[in-house]
Amino acid sequence: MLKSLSLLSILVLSSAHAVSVDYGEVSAFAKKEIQHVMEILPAKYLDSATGKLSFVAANIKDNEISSDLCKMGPKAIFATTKKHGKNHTLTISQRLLDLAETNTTQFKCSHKTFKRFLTATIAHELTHVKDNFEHLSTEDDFQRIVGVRHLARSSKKSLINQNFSASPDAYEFKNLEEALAVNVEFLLMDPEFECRKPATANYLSRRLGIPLKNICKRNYKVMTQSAYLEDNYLQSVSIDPNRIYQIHYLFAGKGQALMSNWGHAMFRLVVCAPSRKKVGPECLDDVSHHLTLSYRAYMSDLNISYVKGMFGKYPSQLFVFRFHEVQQEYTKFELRDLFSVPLKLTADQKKEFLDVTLERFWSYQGKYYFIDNNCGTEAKKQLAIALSDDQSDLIKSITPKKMYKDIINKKNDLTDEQIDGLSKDEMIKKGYLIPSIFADLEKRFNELKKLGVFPDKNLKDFLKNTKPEIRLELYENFFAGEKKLEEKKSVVMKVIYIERYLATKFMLALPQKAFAKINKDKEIKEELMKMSGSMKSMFLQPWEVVDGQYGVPTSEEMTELYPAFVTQRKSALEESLEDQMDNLNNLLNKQTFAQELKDLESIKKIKTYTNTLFSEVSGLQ
Amino acid sequence: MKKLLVATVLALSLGNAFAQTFSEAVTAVTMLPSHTATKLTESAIGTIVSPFVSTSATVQARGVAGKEQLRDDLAALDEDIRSGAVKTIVDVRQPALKELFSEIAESEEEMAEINAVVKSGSELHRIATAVTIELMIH
Repeated sequence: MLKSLSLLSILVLSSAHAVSVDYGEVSAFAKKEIQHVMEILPAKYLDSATGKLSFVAANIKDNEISSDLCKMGPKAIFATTKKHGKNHTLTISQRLLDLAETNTTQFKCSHKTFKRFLTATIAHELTHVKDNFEHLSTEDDFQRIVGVRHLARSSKKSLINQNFSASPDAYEFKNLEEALAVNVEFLLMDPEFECRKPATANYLSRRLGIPLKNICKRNYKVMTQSAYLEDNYLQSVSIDPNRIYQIHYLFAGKGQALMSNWGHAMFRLVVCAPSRKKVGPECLDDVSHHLTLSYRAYMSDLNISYVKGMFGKYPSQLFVFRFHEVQQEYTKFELRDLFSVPLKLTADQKKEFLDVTLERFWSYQGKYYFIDNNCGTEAKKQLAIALSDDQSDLIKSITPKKMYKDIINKKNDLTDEQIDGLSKDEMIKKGYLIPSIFADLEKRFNELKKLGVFPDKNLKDFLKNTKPEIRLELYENFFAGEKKLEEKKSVVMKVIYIERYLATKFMLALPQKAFAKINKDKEIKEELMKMSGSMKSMFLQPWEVVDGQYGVPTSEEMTELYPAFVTQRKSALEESLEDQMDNLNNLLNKQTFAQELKDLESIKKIKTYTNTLFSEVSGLQ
Repeated sequence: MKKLLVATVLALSLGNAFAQTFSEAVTAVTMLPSHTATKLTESAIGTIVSPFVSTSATVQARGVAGKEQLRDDLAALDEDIRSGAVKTIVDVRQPALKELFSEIAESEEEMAEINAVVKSGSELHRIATAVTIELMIH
């Protein structure tokens, strides 16, 4: 009785739920290492644990453990924790203990040395013990930060984020309990962890009482992505919370050309222009610096499969676009309204939201499911991390439109602005609504119709039936007559406006027409495949653009790696664009697209004609 | 297998609704080839050299989409100025143009360049003329 007591040391004497530690037969080295881990973990780390915690050293698939830390096979097991009622047995691999004691090699991966790796392994297993009592890995915000499809009550639930290339240790993706243990390991051992995974680090530090080290230099930069290859990844912008005035919920509603009531949920960051000394309401005017955060399915091929989208075969990722690009996409290309609602966030909430944004941009790759992991659910999960539990409960729906309604509902107090009940004009004036361009198009069409330029009854008929060669004739006829310079100027601007829209509409429809014929014509298929291949080479992920160690690149990595990428990219871009132009020209020269080619020639003629008119009325000729 | 089949049938039966939801997700990607296509028409312009070097750099920094937005906004600005509703930069109703004009107005270098070419009119008129020329020819 006395002997067995002497083997037990009471870890937490003061607590009513103390856990007793039994070092059993482990070596002096192992015992010292375990005690070292207990010391570097917060004093009350295992306060909630009860029962007995026994340590054992044994052979656990030891032949799978390489003597090169960077070449560990997937089958290697370094330690296990088994639960028997309230008691836990923590078994450490004897080979790992031996390597930690004798192999002093410095490696460039993981925890750098076997000794540090052993420390991390013990901390990892002790975190499992803590988790078994406190259920930290199933806390809602932890799940949202690491990325799950649905909030789960089981810590064995797997993660939706499976981005191996941007992870410190891909074992974190196995399930929630491993996600917790792996991240605690790195929070404890890696001084750069809090810069590379700021949202995870802050959450765990706050929740577990592990202090942040404040040694690394934060990098707040992200690259702006773009559907225009010339702009994709070629600029970096800082999303430092100190330079962001507001965060808006950005919602693309239905428009004239859309039957959907679903909408698209996004966020808008009101970034202040670098020239501004003060961050305040003036930053609302700095529209060219504003950014849009948008969760979308990532597709690197041109052939889109609905079935793939249904079954989560496309990655779900957070994209960062310049605001104007999204404005063009929705209000012009899709004729939809955009609603921009400032969210009521404290400085800490804003910081937390932006930390999640950084972590998501640089390391998140979930799975896009049409029904239950889409823009709405992803946006809601991200916002919920920053909001208090009470606040996030107020956003009941996952559909973008209903989320918008919940946010503007005055009772919910999620925005300081009084938006509910405002007229459309008032909303436009105050900047809460960026309307579809349909009304502007209609106004200009009607004015030109009144002047006799267009004979069509209304805009919808006009858009449906218009042909470029007919329009060119109409313009030439109209301007052939005697006109005052001022009238000519006014008409030219309206014609250019309408023609810019029609040219965009025509061009957007071209690829769709080509894809409709992909299975009917072998040559078309070949050209499209070539085009797809050429474009694929230009599709990159953020973590491929700046290939840092893991997560958010450090300031140093960004400074070193990003300029080199830009230089290389600019030279590759020219070639890729030329290839795509060739592919497109080849497509258009096929008999199937004879009409499209004819239309394109007429559009070009209109452009030349209006350009000449513009030069004439502007006094440039 | 049966489960998979049922889900597929369900997906197909919902048809358009899925197509619509799906389109929310893919627009950015499907736009790419279209943008390449827009380049097909560009041979028709670019015959005039811009006399505004600094202003040109400020405008070009907006990126492709930013410039498209500015071009789209020019028609409404033209109407506002023509009707007398807008006389100064502060009054400009198009946020992208207002921001650009304010930035140009604050730059001595850009204003000197513009004043050397556009000799008459208000500050707004001169900047708007320079920006219009810049955007229409590039």
